[in-house]
Amino acid sequence: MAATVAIAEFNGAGETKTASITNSNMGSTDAVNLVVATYPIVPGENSYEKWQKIEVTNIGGSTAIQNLKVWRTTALGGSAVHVTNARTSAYGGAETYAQPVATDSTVADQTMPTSEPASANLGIGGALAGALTAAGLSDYLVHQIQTDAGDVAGASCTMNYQYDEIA
Amino acid sequence: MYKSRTGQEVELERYMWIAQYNDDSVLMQFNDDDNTFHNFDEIDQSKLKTFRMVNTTDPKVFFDIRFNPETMKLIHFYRNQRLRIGAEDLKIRLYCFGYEKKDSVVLNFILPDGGLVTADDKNFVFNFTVS
Repeated sequence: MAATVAIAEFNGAGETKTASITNSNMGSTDAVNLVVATYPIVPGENSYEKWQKIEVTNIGGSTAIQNLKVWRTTALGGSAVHVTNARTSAYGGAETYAQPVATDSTVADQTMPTSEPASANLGIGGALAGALTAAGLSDYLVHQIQTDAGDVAGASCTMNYQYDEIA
Repeated sequence: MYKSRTGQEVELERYMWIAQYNDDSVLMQFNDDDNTFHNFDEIDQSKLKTFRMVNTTDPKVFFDIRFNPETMKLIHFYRNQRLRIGAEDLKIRLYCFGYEKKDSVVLNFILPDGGLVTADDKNFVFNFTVS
């Protein structure tokens, strides 16, 4: 079968993993699969960071997964910005887990792309050219929504990702 | 279902490759004779004459590369896009094949509708839009 790939999220002080998340909703708590109406973000404040990884749960008959790309589509609400550690150049290597915060992220210092990046922007094993040759995880994808005091509503956006599979 | 060299079960793809060697023998990615699946790295490119991508439900649809092992390095992979994660998850699988030369690359992408795009950039961006 083709490789099985999904998103895993990590939360709390204990780096608790949830495999195959059902949504990437950003809100005012550090928890997975959020119901946004329950955890709204106060205008002018940030969402809690999301610490996620692309996970190959089964490589199937393939020999490698590589060339990871992540991006968001659809505009954010108001003047909010979406920041991330994902980048196509000067990649900082694999991030070490830290409990997600709602203060300005010191890890997510890039702007999340809003169209498919021209090249890999999320690493494996600390390198954009890295590959998974068995079940395993990418580097951390860290992202956060930073709102403006004048923002009155959120937005429904979607995350997208791409990977190459060598069979 | 086909079995890989590691014993993994592999489902037939929409497109498969067939490698024809100089002696006219063939190595098929999915072999119906013995239900085996062959990985791309099993192709002996030094003896390769033709690399064919064929539609597994309509074999009249195929694309050939006439291969020169002295100047070419074969490329084959699947490019997978997962769009609209968290909404209506949409999976797109592109069948990518081509070759590298010393200073250039030719890469073909078979699209979900069967169309073929040829580019000189491994990172050719399609920017699929979903409505």
